[in-house]
Amino acid sequence: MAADPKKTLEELLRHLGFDATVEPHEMDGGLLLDVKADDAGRLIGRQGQTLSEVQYIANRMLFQQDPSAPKVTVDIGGYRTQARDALVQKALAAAEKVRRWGDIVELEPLNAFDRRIIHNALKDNPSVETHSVEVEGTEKKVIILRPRH
Amino acid sequence: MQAFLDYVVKGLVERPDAVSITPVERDGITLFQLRLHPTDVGKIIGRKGSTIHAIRSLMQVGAAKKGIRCSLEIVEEEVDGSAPQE
Repeated sequence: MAADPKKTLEELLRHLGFDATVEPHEMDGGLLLDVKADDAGRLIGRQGQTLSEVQYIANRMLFQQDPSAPKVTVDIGGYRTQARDALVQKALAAAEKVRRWGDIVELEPLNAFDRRIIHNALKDNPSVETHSVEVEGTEKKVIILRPRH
Repeated sequence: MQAFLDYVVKGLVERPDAVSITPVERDGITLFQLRLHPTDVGKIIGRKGSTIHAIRSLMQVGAAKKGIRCSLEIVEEEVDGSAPQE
């Protein structure tokens, strides 16, 4: 059975009591499912927690429909885009500090999804290199920025 | 809420025909008892409980929106027919 991301996500949200429409957009690195829904704040949750759970369950269901289906990213009202922009700004500000003062800068613990955004934003930066370091008691890791030699 | 559980759980397992969901009312809270084909239990629990955690958490979001209270448990039947346990 071929996977149907739009229908799967719309049904999922409808059963939860959200009146939602889903627009699929092709993007590099997979499919973006953009949700238009009433009560978007409730669906995003604290720090995007609910949005991440919606995305996780949708991906598990799509995988069950078709193991070769591409992974989807779920966004609501531009939340992910905005959160991503904020992370990139934070990465650039930290990199500037490293470049200017030669300090080592440590960012707060982040999940893998958010760390990837930071690593990517700085991967071609000539003055800093980035590493993830484990933090006890959480799956999250902190990113350390050092001067590149 | 049962429709949500039915849709998600059947969409995650190899044997949707073996899925059954029984609502039990207690003190204004609906407890959904989920029964699965034994080989599907791991699929619904997920690595480190990640899948059942996400299902429960989304169920709470939907319940809050609808103003109801509910919870979910997986009931594993013993093969020899002795008392069920979680």
